[in-house]
Amino acid sequence: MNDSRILEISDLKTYYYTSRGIVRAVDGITLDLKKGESLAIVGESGSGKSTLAFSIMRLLPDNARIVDGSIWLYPEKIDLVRLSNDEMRKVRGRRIGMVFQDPMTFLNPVMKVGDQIAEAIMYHHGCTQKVARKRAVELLERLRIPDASNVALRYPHQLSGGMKQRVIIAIAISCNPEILIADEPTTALDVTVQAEVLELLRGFIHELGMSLILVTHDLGIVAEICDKVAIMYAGKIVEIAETYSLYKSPKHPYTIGLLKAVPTVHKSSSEVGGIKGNPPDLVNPPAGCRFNPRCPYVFEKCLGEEPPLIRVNNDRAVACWLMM
Amino acid sequence: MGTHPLLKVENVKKYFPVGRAVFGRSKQYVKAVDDVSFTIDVGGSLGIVGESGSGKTTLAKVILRLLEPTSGKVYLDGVDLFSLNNKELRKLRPKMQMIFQDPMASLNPRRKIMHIIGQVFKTHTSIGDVEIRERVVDLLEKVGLTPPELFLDRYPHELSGGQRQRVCIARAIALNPKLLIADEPVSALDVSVRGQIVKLLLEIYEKHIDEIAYIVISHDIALIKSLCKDTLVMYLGRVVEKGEVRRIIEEPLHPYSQMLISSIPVPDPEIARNRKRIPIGGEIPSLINPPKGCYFHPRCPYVMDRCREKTPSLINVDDRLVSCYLYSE
Repeated sequence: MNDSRILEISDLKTYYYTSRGIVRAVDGITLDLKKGESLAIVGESGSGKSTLAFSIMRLLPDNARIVDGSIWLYPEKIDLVRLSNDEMRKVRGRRIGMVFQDPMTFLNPVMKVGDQIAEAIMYHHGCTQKVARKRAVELLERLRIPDASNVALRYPHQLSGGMKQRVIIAIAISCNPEILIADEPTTALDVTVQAEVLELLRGFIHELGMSLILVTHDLGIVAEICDKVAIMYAGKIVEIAETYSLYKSPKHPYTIGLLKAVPTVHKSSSEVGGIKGNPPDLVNPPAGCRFNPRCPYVFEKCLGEEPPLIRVNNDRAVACWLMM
Repeated sequence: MGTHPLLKVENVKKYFPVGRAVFGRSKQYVKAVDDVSFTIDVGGSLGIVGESGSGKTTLAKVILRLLEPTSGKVYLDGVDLFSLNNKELRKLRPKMQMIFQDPMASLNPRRKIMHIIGQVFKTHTSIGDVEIRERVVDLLEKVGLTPPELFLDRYPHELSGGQRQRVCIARAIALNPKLLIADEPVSALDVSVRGQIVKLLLEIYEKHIDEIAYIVISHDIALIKSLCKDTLVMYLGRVVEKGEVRRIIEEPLHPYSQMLISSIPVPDPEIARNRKRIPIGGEIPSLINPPKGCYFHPRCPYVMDRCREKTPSLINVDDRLVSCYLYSE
């Protein structure tokens, strides 16, 4: 079974060094991803979910550092944390692609979108510009962009949000990466466009057999496309489970609250709950379980000791003293 | 219950001129709000749902006369708002309040909470400082900022997003408004905090149900459902469907409503993966050169010749209003 593993993260810690102190954004994360599997990493702003994604890509800002842990990429079992910048550049794009949240900030505003896709192809495959451009247009066509050869000649500002996001996806999958990391890929889009982009992503993953890591705050999107869900809170994973069982019977008090905090079309308003209090400051996280100030079931042990992430059955692990 | 209409909106239009004309007026307009009418009774609540660019926020601002209308009429409790001069309008402001999306942007960063809320009373009433303080303390308690004394001397940046939105709500209800408009009241907040604010808004609405009309604007029909009874569905400045939220979600009539509702991600994998999907195609047209006829026709799976020619008007179908030729003879 271990042979199907494609990525393994073990005890990863990424900290930001700020004037206010050390922000422990990712604080001991362990998880693995199988071939063809889609994993969601869900959390609120400040939970460290994006930092985790950017750590895998090694695209962290200057004041952030991976202080501990490893990120193993299979089958060779190379540790991405210890690769040189040159070696990492060969992994990025070719083996792990990334789709970013805001297409406008990640596209070059003064370069035609077709050339931006072609650039990635030329870099990784060393082919001629002509071949790369042709392949870029093919990619746009596969992403159901009407009149693709014309769209390839336009600049980002001439395209709608949904189109730009599809260009970003085209760049990310241009070199057939084994893993695709999507960081809030549809947050900047309207709901009807979001549905379309999600549909496309889902199609590609199946067709190309890619593994997906989807980073999001929206439990709705996750239910649509992911096999497994990891819930993050304050830099830690509090619960990880197979999608169906997580939604059916959430175990961690934070997961339970999170599922109740959002009104949905199938819920009556009396079922909308929410979690009291606010997410903690990661410079000074609470002692013990980080969720204890907001937890309705808090007891003495939670205040003093941090609960480890314990496997409770085959497809679920929870970090909560209630489960022990 | 519906005793008498508290808010009456008649054929409101707001066109923004675009492009620059050297002489005279420019010929192109963005029709941000195009002929919208509705009424809300005392105790009534209405949602306005639409995607970005549908004109929902512009409509709210025109109703409150934060933007001047191009044409149309709005009556609040019988008073014609568009005929008022600035002085009269200012007198009426306490009666119509808005809660904005981003609480940080709508609170003065250099003032303490006491001042921010107290200013409402200073501007619109003649009560003294001691009483103002009492009132502010009351309001903070009402919106769940307890103990209030802890918050009076804080600045907005010292509060969390949820707490800031509570301050905005306290300020909006300070002088018992008749009309309260909440524009995307939770979308700037952390997910786990949203439920708290939804609860608070419901509480406040129920407490003032005998005197208030309530409008909630959002792109999220699920939020509207938890806060309002009825809703408008807007697309590119026009109302395409109006009716009870619950009914529209169960059985949307307008093809756009159908597409919108089937696009909403459902946080339940069983429902999410087994439901019917409406095929989505086409791009949202530009408002500067909107298509002729029904604005939705380039994306509509049921498009007919008629749809390309003339805009369908809103007609009664069963329990609601729909503007679509599928439902007319």
